[in-house]
Amino acid sequence: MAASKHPYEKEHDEQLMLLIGQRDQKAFEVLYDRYAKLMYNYFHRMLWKDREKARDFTQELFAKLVQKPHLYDISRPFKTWLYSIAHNMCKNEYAKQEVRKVAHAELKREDSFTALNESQRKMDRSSFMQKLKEALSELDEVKQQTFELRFTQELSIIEISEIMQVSEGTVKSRLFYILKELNQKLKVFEGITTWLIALGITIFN
Amino acid sequence: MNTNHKYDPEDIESLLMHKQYNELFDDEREFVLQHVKNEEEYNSLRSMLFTLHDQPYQEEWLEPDPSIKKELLKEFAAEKKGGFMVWLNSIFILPEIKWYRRPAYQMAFATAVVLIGGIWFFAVRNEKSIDQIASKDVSIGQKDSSNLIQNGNLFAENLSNERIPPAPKTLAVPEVAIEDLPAVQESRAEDVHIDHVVAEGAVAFDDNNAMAAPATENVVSTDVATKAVTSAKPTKKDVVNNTTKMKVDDVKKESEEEKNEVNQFSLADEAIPQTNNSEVIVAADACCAPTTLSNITLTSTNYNFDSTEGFVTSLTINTNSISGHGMKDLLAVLYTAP
Repeated sequence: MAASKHPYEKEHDEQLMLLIGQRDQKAFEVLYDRYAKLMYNYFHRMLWKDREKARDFTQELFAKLVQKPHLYDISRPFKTWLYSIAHNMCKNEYAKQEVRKVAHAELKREDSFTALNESQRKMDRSSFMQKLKEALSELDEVKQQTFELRFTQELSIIEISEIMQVSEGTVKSRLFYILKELNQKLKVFEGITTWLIALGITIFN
Repeated sequence: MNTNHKYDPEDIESLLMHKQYNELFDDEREFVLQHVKNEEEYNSLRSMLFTLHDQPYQEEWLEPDPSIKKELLKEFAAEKKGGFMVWLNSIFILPEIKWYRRPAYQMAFATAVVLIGGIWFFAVRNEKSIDQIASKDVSIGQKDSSNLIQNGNLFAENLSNERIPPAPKTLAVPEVAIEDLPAVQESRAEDVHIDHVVAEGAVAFDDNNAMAAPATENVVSTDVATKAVTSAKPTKKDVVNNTTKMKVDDVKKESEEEKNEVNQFSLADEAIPQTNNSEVIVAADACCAPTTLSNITLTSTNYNFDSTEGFVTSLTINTNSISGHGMKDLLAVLYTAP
């Protein structure tokens, strides 16, 4: 028999946040379980797939909830607020790692061209996936974050606009240009995407 | 036609997601072609968009290290309570939360509880104070004393503050048959001092069942008061021996259930002697709880003195009963010491 859920499982994030403000540990646990995986993977992808960094950033993010729950603006959805913090943490990290990032991007670009040449020859699905990942990693940070929030975290345009503090139109525009950029970079795989759509949806799910 | 006004330029994603190129209306197609070169690019972008939504690039989601949670919970336990501000933030917002979780309701409820509790507390405390008051020192203010004597010209001018002895809760009120009392030797009064007003004793009697004089001029001792309460019914002999002539003409009794009503008792007797060292003892018997004069508000006093006879012909004292305890018996005796 399945264990009965704690009543807090049904509570809204915002209500749980209020309870955390009253030092309710169970509320914190529920909220952590709800978002830890999302945030960990978000950091992992945004921070160069560095697991150690992702771990540190996840802990730091939730530590903010523990230490300063009063900073939460209750008029905002908790999810958006949490992603905003994560987004800003990543931005700060990008600023810190600016020099390293440029070098990293250069290195990636070089690898990408090499790999692209190889993939042109193979034209198979796995190479397409590999090249897609690489193309994503070549996007600038703003586009990467926009892409991550939209296609990986599956947030709405409105939520992304609140997190990134830009207009909804800007978010849509960014997404469209990301799409065009990726499409341009993966033009050599034209036909693969159509094939993936036709056959691959069930595979990827 | 200017389609820019009809379509938000950023809505192309929506068109890509939901329509093939050949399904686009003319104005939609016109709009799309502002952003893409041709049908080929449209279809290519559309394919890419679907691919991205299906997340083929996505690796398996990683599970965060369990140690993160442990450390956070440890930190949580160590943190001091500091969430009051965020709680206050929700007083007027978060309409979706349950009403009993909304701080405004919680505060209102807490206020109501405090008010009700406070009222109840003071009510109980007041009742207790009535029970305890007999054991406390009670001062009779100068003003009250003055009120008491202001209409009695022959009485002493000063009523000093007195210590009122405690009285037992249950009082045996002597049934004094006034009519049976013998005639008291008449004497002319010179000065009559009201030295003691005992509100809760009863008639003061000594060990011999005689009406007792105060132990001192100013103080009625506890013993006397206690004896006065517990003493048996006085006899004619006792009264005669004390050469006291008195007659309680009228004692009005109020029902003990009646609260906050005016109790009135009076002495009206032309035979009340007025002599030196005379003392007036007014004894009252409360039915339910001991009381003292301080708990009885003397609303008025009235003494009538017959100068030709030298007697106080009537004594009327109006009092308020003690809240919650009506006066069952209130007996007044005018006593003249030998």
